[in-house]
Amino acid sequence: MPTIVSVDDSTVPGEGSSRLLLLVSSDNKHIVVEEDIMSRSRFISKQVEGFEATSQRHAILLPFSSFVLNKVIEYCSHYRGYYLLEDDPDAAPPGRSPVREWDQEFLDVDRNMLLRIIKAAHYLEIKSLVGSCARAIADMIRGKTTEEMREILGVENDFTPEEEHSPSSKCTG
Amino acid sequence: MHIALDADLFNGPSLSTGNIWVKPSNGTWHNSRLPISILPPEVLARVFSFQAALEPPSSEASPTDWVSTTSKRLGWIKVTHVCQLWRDVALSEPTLWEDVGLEVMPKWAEEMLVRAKSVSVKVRRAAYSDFLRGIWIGSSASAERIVANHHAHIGELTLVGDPESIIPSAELLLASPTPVLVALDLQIRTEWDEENIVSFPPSPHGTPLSPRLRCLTMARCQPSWTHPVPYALTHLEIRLPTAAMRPLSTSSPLHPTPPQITAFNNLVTSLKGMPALETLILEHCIPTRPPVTIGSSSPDSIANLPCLTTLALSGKPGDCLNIVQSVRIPPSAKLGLSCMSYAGQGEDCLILLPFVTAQLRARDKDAPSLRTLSISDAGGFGLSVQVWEEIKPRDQPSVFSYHGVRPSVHFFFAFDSDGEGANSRVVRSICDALPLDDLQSLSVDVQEFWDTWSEQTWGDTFGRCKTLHHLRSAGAAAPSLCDALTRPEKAALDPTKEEKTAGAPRPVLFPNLARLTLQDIAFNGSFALRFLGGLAGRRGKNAGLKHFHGKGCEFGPHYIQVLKSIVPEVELEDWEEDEEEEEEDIEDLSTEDSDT
Repeated sequence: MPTIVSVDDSTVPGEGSSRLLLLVSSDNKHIVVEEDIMSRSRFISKQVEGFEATSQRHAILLPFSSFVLNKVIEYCSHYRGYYLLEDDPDAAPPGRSPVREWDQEFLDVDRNMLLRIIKAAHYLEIKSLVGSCARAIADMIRGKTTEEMREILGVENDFTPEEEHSPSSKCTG
Repeated sequence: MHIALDADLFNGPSLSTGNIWVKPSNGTWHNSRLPISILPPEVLARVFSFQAALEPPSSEASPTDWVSTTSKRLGWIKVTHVCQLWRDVALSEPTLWEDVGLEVMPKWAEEMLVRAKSVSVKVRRAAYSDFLRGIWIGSSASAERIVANHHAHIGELTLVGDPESIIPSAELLLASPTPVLVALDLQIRTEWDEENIVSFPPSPHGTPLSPRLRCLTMARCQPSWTHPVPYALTHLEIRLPTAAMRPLSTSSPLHPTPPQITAFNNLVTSLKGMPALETLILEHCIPTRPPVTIGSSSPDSIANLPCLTTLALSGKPGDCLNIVQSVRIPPSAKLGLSCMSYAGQGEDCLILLPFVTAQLRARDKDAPSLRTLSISDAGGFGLSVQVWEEIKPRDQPSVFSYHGVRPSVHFFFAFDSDGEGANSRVVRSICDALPLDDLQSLSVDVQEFWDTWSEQTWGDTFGRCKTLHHLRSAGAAAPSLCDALTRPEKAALDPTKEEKTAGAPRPVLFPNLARLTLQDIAFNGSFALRFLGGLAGRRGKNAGLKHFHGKGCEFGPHYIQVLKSIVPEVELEDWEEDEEEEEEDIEDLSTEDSDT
């Protein structure tokens, strides 16, 4: 759960046509963003509902860096006002997200950044972004052999010899 | 040892068993510190679900692909070989195992079904041609065993192969309680016996043991129609080979077919039980109803299909007519009518036109109008007329290249075109039956039988298309269409007898035409002069082209020069130079054009 701290009125501009939220990253950067933009995040929406119940303004502390948070905000800003089925809480559970051209360009980042973004998206409950990141990672390892996948992601073979050759534990075709 | 273990505790995970600290293997320790390991299991499972879609097992393996590696045959399943964590995540997510292919890994199918737990699974068995049977890895026995053991949680079943291996499994499935079966796809593949059409009862006792079955797709096999199909389907698709390839009355060695009238009535009764049907595709499988009953459809014998979005029928014109007279469908439904003409000229197919006209007239006034029309001789073996609500992308060639958008209406008539003009008469009738007033894009691509169309016929047929913006033409129809488009008003250009006797000035054909695409036309002699003169004449009447695209055409350099002086944008592709160009005539034309 995020830490919620009280915020001075001077920190967050007063309520206007579009309310503002203060997001605080793990590297203690304060980022003000319109509530509308972040409404795609189920996590943020639930937090805001909590604020309304207490009629107090709060900052939302998030456990990832400002660099990652800014990328997520960029994504949410791009799709502001767009309906994406995956993010509809009333829709059926998302299947495989459709390929969106903009997403492919947006996620053309290094592997570690991609993993950080998907983790942040999962934390913020932005299913469409989780889906797009998952697709990007799947593309990264598509068509690769087991060894090649290990090389790409730096994973070591940690199976015991028995596990590796056990027919009950894996499909060998 | 304890000290070392305690030190490691500060740096990574260990497993605690009572008071004994157990250090993970070095590999597990290393992996736990990787960025990929920060992903929650459900996110990793999501990655694998995409991987499963991108690389299904056996997707790159076939009996003829001897170089397939084990890795390729396994498809996405190889992620379970990467490390402990990935394997644990994959094995704990049942939905990853819902797509079970039997053809390459039959011995693992059972294992995958176990891993799918209670999730509704899709079972596929794809087989290859008969002569390769000896090297099949899959077997009909494995399919039957799977069906027998797991029918209760098969959600989708796709079986592809020879009838002896498929039909028993399908019959077994449909005779068993299949509470979650949603889709059944049976595709018979036979190499040597084209006439062997398999019929089988869809439910042995007429009792629906598959209450959730919504999608039934059959190729080279069909329900026997001994009784109605008892499923409330949303998708019914039955495809048999063309009628010419099989006897008109087919009897299966497995199940005798009922009399045709009984079969037809059972088909219609089946449709009556499918009020949510969205797609109905019947290809060369419509039972022939005796002529005596044609036109005698009473309201009770009509199937009301208010949700239908696609109706595609293939067969004899009379059989197709019987179906359209037996159903009531929304005016917005897309229609595909593919008929083999037995009259030799195609006119017998036109009995379907009143139905199409009635459907289109019944449309809501706010419904999109028809914007794109494509006429093609379909490679010389028939006539294809397609019309879309959407505007076709520019310069898309004819029928075979406009994929992705199903036409609102598609006629395909195959017939023996012995008589000259057969095609053109049929095309004229079809176009007259369609509301083309708002047409914006027209493509005409035919090779034969079009020389009988005069420019007057073009005008009579398409004169109402005042908003046409883009015209594309290729083949034999193009010269007369060009003449109709550019009929010169000036006697000085190349007057023909027809022009002299034309009488009162005729309105310009397609007055809003901006783009013209012509393919494989030789612009030479008097035709070229008429064409250029006509374009200049259109410009003088504020109906000039903005863009000309010539592909594979034959021009002389002077023609091109004049063309560019008339049309702002000229795009030429694969053009050939006409060496016998008549320069004097062209110079005259240039002078006249500049005067204009």
